[in-house]
Amino acid sequence: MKKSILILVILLTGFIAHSQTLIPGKPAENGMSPERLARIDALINDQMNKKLIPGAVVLIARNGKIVFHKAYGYHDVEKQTLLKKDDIFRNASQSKAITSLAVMMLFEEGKFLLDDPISAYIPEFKSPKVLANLNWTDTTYTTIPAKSEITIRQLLTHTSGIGYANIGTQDFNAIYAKAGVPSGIGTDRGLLADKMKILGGLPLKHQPGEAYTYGLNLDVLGYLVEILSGMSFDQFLQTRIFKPLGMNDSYFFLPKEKHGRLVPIYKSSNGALQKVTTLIFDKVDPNYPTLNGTYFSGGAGLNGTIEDYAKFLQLFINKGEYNGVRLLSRKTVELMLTNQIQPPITNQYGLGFGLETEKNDYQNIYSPGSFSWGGAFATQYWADPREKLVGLIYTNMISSPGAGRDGKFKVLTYQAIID
Amino acid sequence: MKKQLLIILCFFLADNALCQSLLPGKPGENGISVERLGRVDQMINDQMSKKLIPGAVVMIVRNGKVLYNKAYGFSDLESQAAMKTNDIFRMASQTKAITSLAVMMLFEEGKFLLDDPISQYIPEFKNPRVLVNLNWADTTYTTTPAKSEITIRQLLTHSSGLDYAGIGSQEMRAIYAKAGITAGVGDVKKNVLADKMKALGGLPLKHNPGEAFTYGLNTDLLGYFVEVLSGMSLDQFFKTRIFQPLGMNDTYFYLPKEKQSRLVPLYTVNKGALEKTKSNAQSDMNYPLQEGTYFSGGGGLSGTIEDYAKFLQLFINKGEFNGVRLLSRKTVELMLTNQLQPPITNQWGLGFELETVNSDYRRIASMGTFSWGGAFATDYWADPKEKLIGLIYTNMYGAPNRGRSAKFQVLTYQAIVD
Repeated sequence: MKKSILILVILLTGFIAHSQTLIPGKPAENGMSPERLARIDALINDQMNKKLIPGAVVLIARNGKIVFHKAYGYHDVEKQTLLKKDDIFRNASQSKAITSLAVMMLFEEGKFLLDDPISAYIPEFKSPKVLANLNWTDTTYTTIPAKSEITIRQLLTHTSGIGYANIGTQDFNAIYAKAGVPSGIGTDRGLLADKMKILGGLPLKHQPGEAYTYGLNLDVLGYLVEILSGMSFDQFLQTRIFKPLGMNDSYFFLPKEKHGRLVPIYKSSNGALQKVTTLIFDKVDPNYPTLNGTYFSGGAGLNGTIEDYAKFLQLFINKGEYNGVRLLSRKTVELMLTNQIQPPITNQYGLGFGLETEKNDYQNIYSPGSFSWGGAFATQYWADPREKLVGLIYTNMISSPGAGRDGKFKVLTYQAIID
Repeated sequence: MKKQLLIILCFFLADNALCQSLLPGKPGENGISVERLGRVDQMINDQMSKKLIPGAVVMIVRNGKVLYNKAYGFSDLESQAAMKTNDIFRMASQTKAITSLAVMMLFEEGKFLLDDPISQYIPEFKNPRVLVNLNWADTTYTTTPAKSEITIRQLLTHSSGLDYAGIGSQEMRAIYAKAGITAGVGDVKKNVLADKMKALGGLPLKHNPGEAFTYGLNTDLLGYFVEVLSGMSLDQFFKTRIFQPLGMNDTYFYLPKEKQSRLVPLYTVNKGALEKTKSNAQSDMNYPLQEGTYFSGGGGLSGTIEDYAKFLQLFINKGEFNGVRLLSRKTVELMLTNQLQPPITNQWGLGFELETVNSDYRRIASMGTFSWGGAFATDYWADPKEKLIGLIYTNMYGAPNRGRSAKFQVLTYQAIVD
C-alpha cells in the first residue's frame, strides 16, 4: 500500500527531479574525503594540459548519493564552449549492459531460458557453421558445421563465436562487410531485423562456447528483445527502462532540441587535439546521434548523459529497484553478477558486464563483485556493490591514447574512501 | 515463544491438521510479490493451451509458510475432473531423496559408516565385477574384477557403477532384463525387493566403483539396505519413522482404497494431442493402485505436493519439522555438501543434486540449493539461503517439458522482492 502510494506520487509529480534522480550528497557524509577527491581534478587537468582530451565529465555516487559530479574543459575547443555536466555522450559499447537488462527482464517473464538455442526464436541462426578458411583473393570462404547451436547465455557472455564488424578480426571484418552487416557503431540506416537475419547465415569464428570473442552478440539480443516483446528495440528501452528509471536523456537518435548537447568527437595525436569531421567506423557521420536513424544497435547504438547511466548502474547496486520501480528481482541481479565463463576461458564475465571475481580481484583496486565496461569513444564506468559505489568518466575521443586516465580515475576514487 | 506454544499444542493434539501441515502465509509478508507471481499462472496456462499438459499443481513455500498452492486445469481430461491441490502424483525418482533420509537416519544411529563396503551388509555384492564386453547375439558377457568394493557413499551419489534397468545404457538394460531386474516403477508385479537386490549383486557394473556418475539402481539397493539394518520392510520404515512423524499422510508405495480416486492419470503427447498413457504387459501405469509387495527406494512412492514440501522443509529446518527431529543439523549439512570429486563434474550431495560454487552460475537459485525430479514430470528444489521451496507437479510420461520446470523456478525467484 505504502509502495502504491509512492508510485502514485511519482506518477503525479513525474517531473519533480527528486523522485527520479540520484540525490546529491556530501562526500564526507558518505565516507569520502573531499580533499582526497580533489586529486581527480589534478588528473583531468593534467590530461587536458597534455592535449589528450578537450574535457571530461566525471560522476561518483555512493550510497545512492552523488558525491562528486563535475565537468572539466571544453565541449567544443574551437568554439570555446564549456563542457557541461548534462552534455550527451555516445555510449557505444556501454549500450551492451542496457540491452542485457532488457533481455533479463524478458527472462523474468518466462519468455525464454538462458540455455535455449537462439534459433528457437531467430530461425536464421539454425545449424550454424564455423569458418574454416577465407580466400583473400575473392573473400569466399569454406566452413564446417558447428558442434552445437548458439545459446542465449553465450550471446550474453560473448562466447557464441560471432565476431565484430569493422573492429573485429581482419577475416570477419571482410566477411561482415561483404554481407553488409554493420558494427552498429553509428549505424543509422537499415533495420536491425534485416541485418541480424543476414548475420544468422554467416560463419562463426569458433565453435559456440569454446572461446570469448567480443562481437555482435548484443545486437542479436536487441533483435531478440524485438521478437519477444513485439516492440521495436527503441520502443522497449524507452517504455520499459528509460522512462521508469528517469533516464530522460538516453536515446538511439536524439530529438532535435537535444542536438546541441551532443559532444563532438576529438582525436589526440602528437600532443594536439583535432575535431573529427570525416566519416568513422563503417563510414558513418561522427554526429550520427543527430540523424533520424532507423537502426537500433543493442551493442553500440545508445547515447546519453553520465547521470542517466549512473541511474542505470544504481538499479543494480539497489538489487533491481530504483526510485520505487522494480525492473529485476534481486536473484536475477545476483545471477547477472555471477561469473558465467568457465575454464579454459579466463575472462570473468557476467550476463552483460565484465566482473571482478576472486580470480582477478588482485588486478584492480575495486572489490570483488564489481562490474564494469566502457565505450569506444573513451567512456568508462564501474559499480561496486560492496562499497555501494558507482564511478563514471566520460570523454569524447576516438582512437586516442588514454594514458591511464580510466585506471587512475578508479584509483583516485577509491583512495578517497575513508570510512 | 509462539512456536513453542504451537509445538506444545501439537504434542497434545497430534492429529490436528494444523500441526501436521505447513502453515499458510501471505506472499507479501514473506518477501514475495503477488503481482509478479502471476507470471507463473501465465506460463502454466500457456503450456495447457499448447496441449503440453492437462494441468499442474504448484507450491511455493518460504520461511516455512505456504505462499502459493494452486491447481490448474484437469487431472482427467476425458471426465473433465479438475486438478486439485491434494491430488496424488507418482513421484518416481523423487523417492530417492526420501530413501536417502532413511539411510542417513540409520547413519545417525551408528549402524554403518559412509565408506563401508555395501557387501559388509549385503554379501551378494562382495567382489564386484565390471562389464568388459557384451555379445549381442546371446547377451552373454565378459567381465573383469572391479578395483574396489562398492561403498554406501557411492550408492548415495550414483557413482557405484550400477546402472538403470529400463532407462540405462543399452548393454546394462539387456543384462538387467535378462536377470529379471526392473526399474522398480510399474514393472514389479508381486516381486520382493530382497530377491531382486540379491540378484543385482551378482551382475556386472558399468564401470569401476567411484569412477563415474551413472544414474542407476543405487537407491533401490539402499532401500533394501534400510530393510537389512532396521529389520523392517522399507514401507514400514517410511511409514513409522518418516511419514507419520512428519505428517506426510498421503505418501505411499501403494495407496489405500479410500485415496485411490485422488491418483492422477498419466498423459502422453501424441501428434500434438494429449492422450492417456496406456499400460502394457510389462508396465502397469496405475501401479500405485496395486496391492504391491515391491518397495522401490529409487522410484516407488506416490504422494501429494504438500507432503513432499514437508519433507523438503525438514532440510530447510536443518533436520527438524513441527517439533520432530529426524536428523541433526550436521548430518543435513553433510548431505548438502558436494560428494563428487573431479574428474566427475556432477555436483551431488547425499541424495540430492546440488547448486555449488561450480554450478551456481547456471541457474537463478542460490548456492546450496538442492533439487531433483521424477520421471512423470514432477520437479522440486529447496534453497536454504532464501528459505524457499518450489514444487511443480504434472502428470506426463515421456513428453517434452519445454522448459516448464526451469521457467517455474525463474518465475518463482523473480517474484522475490525483499
